[in-house]
Amino acid sequence: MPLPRRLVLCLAPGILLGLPALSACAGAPAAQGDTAPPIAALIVKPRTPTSDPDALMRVVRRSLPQPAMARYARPMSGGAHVVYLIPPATRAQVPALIERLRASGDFEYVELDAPVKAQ
Amino acid sequence: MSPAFKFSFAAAALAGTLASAWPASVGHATVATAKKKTAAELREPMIRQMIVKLRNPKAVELTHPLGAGRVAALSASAGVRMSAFRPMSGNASVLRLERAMTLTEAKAVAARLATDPSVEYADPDFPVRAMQVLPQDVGYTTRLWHYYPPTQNFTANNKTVVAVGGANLQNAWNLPGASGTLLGSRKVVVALIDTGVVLNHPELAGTLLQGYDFVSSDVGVASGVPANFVANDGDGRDPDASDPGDWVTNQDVAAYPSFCDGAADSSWHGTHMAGTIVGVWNNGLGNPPPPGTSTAGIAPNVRILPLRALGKCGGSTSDVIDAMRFAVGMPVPGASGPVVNLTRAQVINMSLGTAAGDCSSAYQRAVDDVVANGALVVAAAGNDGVTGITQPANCAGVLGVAAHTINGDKADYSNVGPEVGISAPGGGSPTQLQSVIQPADTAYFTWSSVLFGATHPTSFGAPPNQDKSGPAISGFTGTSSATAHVSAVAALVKSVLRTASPSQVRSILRATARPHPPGGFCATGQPGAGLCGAGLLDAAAAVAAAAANAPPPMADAGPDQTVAPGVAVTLDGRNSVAFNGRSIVSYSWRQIDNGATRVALAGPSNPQAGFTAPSGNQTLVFELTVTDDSVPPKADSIDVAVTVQSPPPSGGGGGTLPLWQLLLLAAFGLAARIRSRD
Repeated sequence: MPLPRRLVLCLAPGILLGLPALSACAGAPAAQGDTAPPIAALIVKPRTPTSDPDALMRVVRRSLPQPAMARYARPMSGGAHVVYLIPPATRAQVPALIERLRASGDFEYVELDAPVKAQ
Repeated sequence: MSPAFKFSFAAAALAGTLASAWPASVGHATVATAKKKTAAELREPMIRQMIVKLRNPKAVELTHPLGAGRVAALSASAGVRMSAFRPMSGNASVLRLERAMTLTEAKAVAARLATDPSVEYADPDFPVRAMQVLPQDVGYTTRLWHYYPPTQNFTANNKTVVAVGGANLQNAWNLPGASGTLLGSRKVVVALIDTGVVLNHPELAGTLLQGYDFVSSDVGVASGVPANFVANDGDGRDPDASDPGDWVTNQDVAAYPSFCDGAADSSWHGTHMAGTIVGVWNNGLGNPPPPGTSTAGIAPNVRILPLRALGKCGGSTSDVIDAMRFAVGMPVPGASGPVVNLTRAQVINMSLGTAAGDCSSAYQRAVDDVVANGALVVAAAGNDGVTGITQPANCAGVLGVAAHTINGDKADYSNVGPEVGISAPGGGSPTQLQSVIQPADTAYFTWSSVLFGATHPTSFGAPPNQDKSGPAISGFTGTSSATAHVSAVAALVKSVLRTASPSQVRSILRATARPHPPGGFCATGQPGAGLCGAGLLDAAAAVAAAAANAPPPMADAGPDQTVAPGVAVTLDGRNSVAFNGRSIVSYSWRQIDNGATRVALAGPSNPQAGFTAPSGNQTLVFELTVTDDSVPPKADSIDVAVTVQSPPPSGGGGGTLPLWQLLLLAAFGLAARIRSRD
């Protein structure tokens, strides 16, 4: 699946200029409004509480290896947030990406927003 | 009504009117009644009064309470302090004992009194109650084996089996030592995180609080399903916790194979769980009973906070976690900003699970939060038939629930593991013990309320119910149903002992569980030993253990009412209950000042009070305070709302009924659907 055009444009300066530049576009409407289907939904709780999606995504993205990308989904209770991992990562790469986020030390926890079924 | 019942009612009413005379006679220091009753004492009737007939009573003694001198002399003969209460028929008198005592003790007192030459006879004044109160809904005897005492036979399909796995509700509702029937307190709230509920289901009438729909628009999008597919109501979060249906088509399964397990009709899963917990009693009367009403709940007086977090093909952990925190009053992102629940739950029923694996940090933090806010989390162990239970049942502090069958053996589908806290009735096939019950039998299932509809709430059923719509009852098997049983009993325990912490309620339920049946999968020495929890849920033992903690009485002012202006309204506190051999000795009604019209209450110190509904649409709130005869007295208060509403003007064309109500009226008989797990 090709990358969405606006995300590609956002990613390019990140690659060229390093993380600060990538962070600068993290909260841009291009990323927020992207319609690429995610490959996983994560529950993340940052160690530094924030209600600012842009600030959170800066922290998330700096822990992800390129070219993995993430998109903010919604706030949760308890200071947590739901974020999406989106292509170009593959589903098989999700566990490693979660471990990478956990290992960053920026989060109290990072969990898969797993499906729930009635029993 | 039998003469005995009339007497009981009259005595209760009189006790209320004389309450103001009591403190002087019961307040002296020698009344040491704080001692907890032993289990043996609790099994005996508790006697509070003596009937004494004098050989040569004075004329005044036939029409008035006995005088102080006479009472003192009789007390000396009895060896126990008594007080005058009232004259009664047959030229006898009623005297009150200084404390409640067992029948054995009271008989000894009567024997000593009988040796007094002035006494013709003396007898303990037995508390007279109607026969044990049970639901009269026809389904109680024809389907609800899962509520039965473990020694009681259940007969259906020409098979009679002992309901070894029954939850033993009869002696919980008719708790020894309680002054009335225990059906739960309206102060106790059970949050039901599920598929939502059918808000207008007759089995749930008057039991539902304003809930919330937590299903986000984007659930499942990571698995390729479109936005709002799971929500199935056209949007994401909103205050409408009604269940729009969760049917799944073959096309859905083909399109989203990683998210949808299989095609299925709408489950009405949340409504089934709610019916088990609070299903209305005695609305299933009639021949045939009104459709969908022939079942009954375990704690019909507690209230349900419906929180929708599951939809088509399930839901997401993040939505479930938000629903958990909402249940206890923590702020949670809602449809447009934070939302806060003002009717906090004390029990959270989670008949759901996230695939096996260690309890995630996200779940554990949520559990820690809700426990810290006073709620017990009761969660299903899962239906995969494996060792290893689902989240959040495996989280620390959660009461994880396995399921057993009518013979008490573990259900073959039930997950087990060291984290399981207790086992409860879930139906199905036993794992190890032999059983004559087959999958087509009534005793194979646990029964509760649903709709006929195969898709939307107003739809028709699947064959053979394709001509039926509206309320129905249905048999489920699963740890879901077992979980609802435990939550309901936890609500009864909490109703009796409202100071109990979540861990105390959990401990009571586990400590009073019956042993797993010998030879069963979970019994000592068997493969499942140590993996199925403390034992089989026992409601009677659990509420008795709660009552042994000398709790205050439980005020009951009846359900909220909606009336028309000008009608006579009765406020009824007669279902208030005192525990542990105590009696309720005073009732006090007062109107809460909420800006509504002030009304004159008739009988504000009686079990029942009344007033005439004022004009104008408004809601009046009244508080009932009841006091028992503990020393010092213990009290409990509860509010009841009376909404005055002018009836809509009647026009020539008449009103219209929703389609499903028309279909309900057209439906005949009670056709129950049978389903396997979910």
